[in-house]
Amino acid sequence: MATVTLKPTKVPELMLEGYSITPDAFAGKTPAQIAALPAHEGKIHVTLGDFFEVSGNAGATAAETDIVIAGDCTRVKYIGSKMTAGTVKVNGNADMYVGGWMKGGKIHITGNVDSFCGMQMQGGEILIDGNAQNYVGCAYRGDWRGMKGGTIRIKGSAGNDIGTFMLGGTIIIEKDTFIHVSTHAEGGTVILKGDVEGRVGGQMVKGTIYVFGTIKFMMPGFKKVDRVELEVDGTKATFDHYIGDLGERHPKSKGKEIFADLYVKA
Amino acid sequence: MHAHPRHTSRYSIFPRGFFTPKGQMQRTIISIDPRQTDTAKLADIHLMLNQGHDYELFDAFRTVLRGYDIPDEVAGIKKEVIVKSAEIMKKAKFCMIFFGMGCTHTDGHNHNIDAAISLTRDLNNHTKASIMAMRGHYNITGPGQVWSWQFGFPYCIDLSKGTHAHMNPGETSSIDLAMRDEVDCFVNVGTDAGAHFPIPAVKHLKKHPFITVDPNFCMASEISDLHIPVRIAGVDEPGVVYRMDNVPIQFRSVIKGLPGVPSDEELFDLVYERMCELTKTEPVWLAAKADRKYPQNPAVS
Amino acid sequence: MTSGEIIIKGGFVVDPTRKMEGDITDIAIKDGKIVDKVSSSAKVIDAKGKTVMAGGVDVHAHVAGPKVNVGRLFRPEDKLLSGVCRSAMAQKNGARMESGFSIPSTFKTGYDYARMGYAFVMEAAMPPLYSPHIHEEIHDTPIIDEGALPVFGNNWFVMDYLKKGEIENTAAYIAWLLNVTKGFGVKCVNPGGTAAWGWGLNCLSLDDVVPYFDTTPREIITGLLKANEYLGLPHSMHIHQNNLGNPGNYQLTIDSLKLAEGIKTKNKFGREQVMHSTHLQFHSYGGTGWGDFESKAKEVMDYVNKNKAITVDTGNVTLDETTTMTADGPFEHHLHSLNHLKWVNVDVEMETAAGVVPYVYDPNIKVCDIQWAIGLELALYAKDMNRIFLTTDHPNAGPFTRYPRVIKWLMSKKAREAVLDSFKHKDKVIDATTLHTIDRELTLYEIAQMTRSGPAKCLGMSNIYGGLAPGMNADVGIFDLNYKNMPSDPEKIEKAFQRAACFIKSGEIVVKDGEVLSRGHKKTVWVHVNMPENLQVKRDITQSFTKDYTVSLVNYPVRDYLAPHPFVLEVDVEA
Ligand SMILES: [Zn+2]
Repeated sequence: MATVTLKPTKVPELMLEGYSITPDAFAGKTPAQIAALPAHEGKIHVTLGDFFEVSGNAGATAAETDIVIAGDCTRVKYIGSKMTAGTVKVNGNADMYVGGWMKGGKIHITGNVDSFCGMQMQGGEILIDGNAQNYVGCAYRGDWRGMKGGTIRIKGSAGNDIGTFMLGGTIIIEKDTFIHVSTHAEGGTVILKGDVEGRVGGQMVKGTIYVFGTIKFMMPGFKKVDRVELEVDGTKATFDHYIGDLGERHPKSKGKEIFADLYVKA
Repeated sequence: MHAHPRHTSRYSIFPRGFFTPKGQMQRTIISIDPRQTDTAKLADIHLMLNQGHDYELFDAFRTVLRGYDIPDEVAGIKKEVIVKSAEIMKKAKFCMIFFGMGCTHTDGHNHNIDAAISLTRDLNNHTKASIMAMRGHYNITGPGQVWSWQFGFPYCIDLSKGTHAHMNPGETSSIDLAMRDEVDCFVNVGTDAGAHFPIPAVKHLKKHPFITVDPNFCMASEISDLHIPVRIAGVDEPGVVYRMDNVPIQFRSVIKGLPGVPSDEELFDLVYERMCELTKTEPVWLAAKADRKYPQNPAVS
Repeated sequence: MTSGEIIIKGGFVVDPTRKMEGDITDIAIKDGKIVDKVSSSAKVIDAKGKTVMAGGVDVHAHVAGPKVNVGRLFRPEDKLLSGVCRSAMAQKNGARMESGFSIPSTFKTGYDYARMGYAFVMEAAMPPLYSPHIHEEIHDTPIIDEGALPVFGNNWFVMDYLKKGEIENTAAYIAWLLNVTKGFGVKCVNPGGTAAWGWGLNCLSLDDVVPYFDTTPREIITGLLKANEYLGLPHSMHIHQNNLGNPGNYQLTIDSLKLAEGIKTKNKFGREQVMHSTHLQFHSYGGTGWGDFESKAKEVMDYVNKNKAITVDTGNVTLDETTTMTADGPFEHHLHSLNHLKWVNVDVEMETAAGVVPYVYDPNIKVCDIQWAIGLELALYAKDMNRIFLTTDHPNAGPFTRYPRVIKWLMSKKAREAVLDSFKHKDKVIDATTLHTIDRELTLYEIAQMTRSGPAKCLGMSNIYGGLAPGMNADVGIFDLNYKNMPSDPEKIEKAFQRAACFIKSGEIVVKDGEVLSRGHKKTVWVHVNMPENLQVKRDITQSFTKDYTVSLVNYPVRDYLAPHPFVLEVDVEA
């Protein structure tokens, strides 16, 4: 494994679109070559070298490349987006689209992230130590194919639109969440460790949601069916089991309608 | 009644239609509004729901339509009323849902209307149903149409890459861009950012050049570094205006504009020409329009 | 129009209008037209070793207007992964930004057609009330010439007149509407069915009665065929038949085609057919459901081959993720209930309706593969290639940018077999189709018939488009294909047609090596009918606008400035 370190040298005036900050783009490159990789600040073409001091050679492939950003990236978008392997670690915050369309590898942000983290992700792992804004693991506007695989763990809280149109994979929010969880989902698992305001599982076709805290406003299309004992993300607890969204269409399997499952800690 | 004063009389409630010769007598009106508005007073049923819970109410309608039970109260509305309203919609020959900013500019935004659209789809399995936005500004539909055919997106368009357009509300929407300091020049065209944007957003924008293109003095023009007056399309400038239901209406000018005041189009052509001069590029798109002759109103010119 | 003289030297000319099958000859251009000869100062384009054809003519595509734009608007994801669309060279040339895959922006539409060497495209469904919008979009679509067909098959005036058998009044109304909308001809979509959709119903057979209007698809089709010939329009009645896309619909298709049998052609534009039946692929289905769904392309084409009064286009499925859009409102609702993707419906007062639903033609789904095979079978079973045209009913069965791929499949059995072999359900597809038994490979000459001379003649413009005879429009495509030594690799055929080596439109070089160089000399083509005033129809129109329409009559006609590059075909009807 080879580690490339990026040290932020200046804060972008607008936002820096750091779509080249992926192990895939870095693989096989020297620090000078990495510094020459393209980026955008508004409509201006810039290079990574304009904003970072690059040290360390990349590995031969993405899988052999680790990227460490030794500083804050509050104004850097697209970190680790579309990456397929390797790792990215940011010691600080990151902006939008962290791990968007990601297929593999690992991303670790020690601070907070803005919206669209893990958008339409297909595989790999994202770990955020701080909070996330809106649209964690959601679909792109208009698309009905959301997150398909991989894991997103937010140690802090999150805003709205968690796992919209989710098809697979797992999202864990360890603190509170606002509204719209697994809206339109047709698969995947969302685990909410804290409280949530409402709109949990609206228009949901298939998939699973676990809530450890409370749901302030329950969707009317969810019906309680039983109470079960489960181990979820390493914690054993008793959950009330609901099915829904009864207002939405549902596929049939062997003549039986399949519903989405919502488990709320009793 | 108030936001669209002509709507009830000309389109929705009162007019005698081809298949509804008795007008309002043959229509049932359901108003969904947390406030006791004049429209609500006119309605046969007023569902005075708790503010911000439209999404749950639409889900309740859908659940009822699929034959499932719902809780005794949803969004502050009693189950019986919800069931009765759903039944009315289902039995109607043609069910039309109009929605406004109360749904689109509150928590959940698009999701509220998404739920209403889903309800509309479901209703089409029983009868004919349709849904339409009560848009906020004159000809707001127009730019939506033009940008859609030119760039593929109706709003929130980011053209900064030069190679392709990008759209993602939440990122490329004007207020988000302002709040996050993602722009270093603001041009306010045909709207009043001063009146409609949150004050913190305007404060961010004021750090940079702030230009307003508007026929009138408005709050935005007051705080602008530059205010360029233009003619008013449909008053002293002819052109195509898109009605709220996307029907194009060919407006004529009814009065002669003030001397020296350009139309929006003339203004942007001048800006484009100057930009081509500064960047030393050919103004190819001016040549492209050379043969497009705009109609003049004979009464005034 | 540029007066610059051009001479294209030494290419293999494929021009069915002059029976040229790869003859090595020069093409001379002056003042935007093909001419016999040019002076020695003419710009020389060396086409040696390449194939030279007239500009392509697309008889049916949805490229402009409200439903196309709804498709763009409600599918941001159609743009997301289409990538960088404007090259550095394009930016330097001042070309506009391009976007979209299945429903490209107007600029991309113009540029992409030009890159494929197409000169004329017919927008296949114009809701009359929205005609100013269509003309605005056409104006923003560079290079290519375009026309638009207003829809009549569910129009309340038309149904009212035809219920009473009034052909003359129908014709007078059609003439008025063509004139005020700057339309090209008579389009008829799911006759009666779209009107029935006003009540959430449909017409699935020729004799289903349209609610309220008390007429039938049979009466509407026959009436429109007669009215079209009464007027003697350049194009024939252009029909999208009832019961589109459903298993077992082929019998209805043949029955509808037979309605053309009693009708005689009457026109001064060299058109021979009385009915153009569009996207036949969607109407050539056997089986009783999706389980025993099968191809009936052979049966349908056996009839088409016999009846010279009919032309058809294919509507090839290209196995892409695309967007369906049609004035067949009830069909789109049905489709949405099958695939559960987003659905838009628009009802147009007094006139028509439309629906839009995204659709993924997934090669792993048997039905999609059978549809793919049916589209190809239709062309391969055709006897007269001047009566069958290549379309994808863009974007319904696939984007128009896939025409080169369809050409590859039609010209190469090897290419077809490669696709067939890649199917997960290959055996089931083979059971339901006959494509695997067909050895026929179309020639470049036949492709030129399907994409050039045939459609031009069908539209009544064979003296303007689709050929390279002196006097015709100087729309010339040069493709990197050696007629005498065609590549063994079918991919090279697709590549050659995707990006013309050179395309000359109206006498100006607009594309070179696949890059757009100029915005061209775009024209909007429409038909203007001169006929004696029909007082009854005039009164009916006035009354209806006063009583029923939400727009006033004076605001209805498309103003001239919206179509600033007119090319008008005049039709004179005697009393
Ligand atoms: Zn079509």
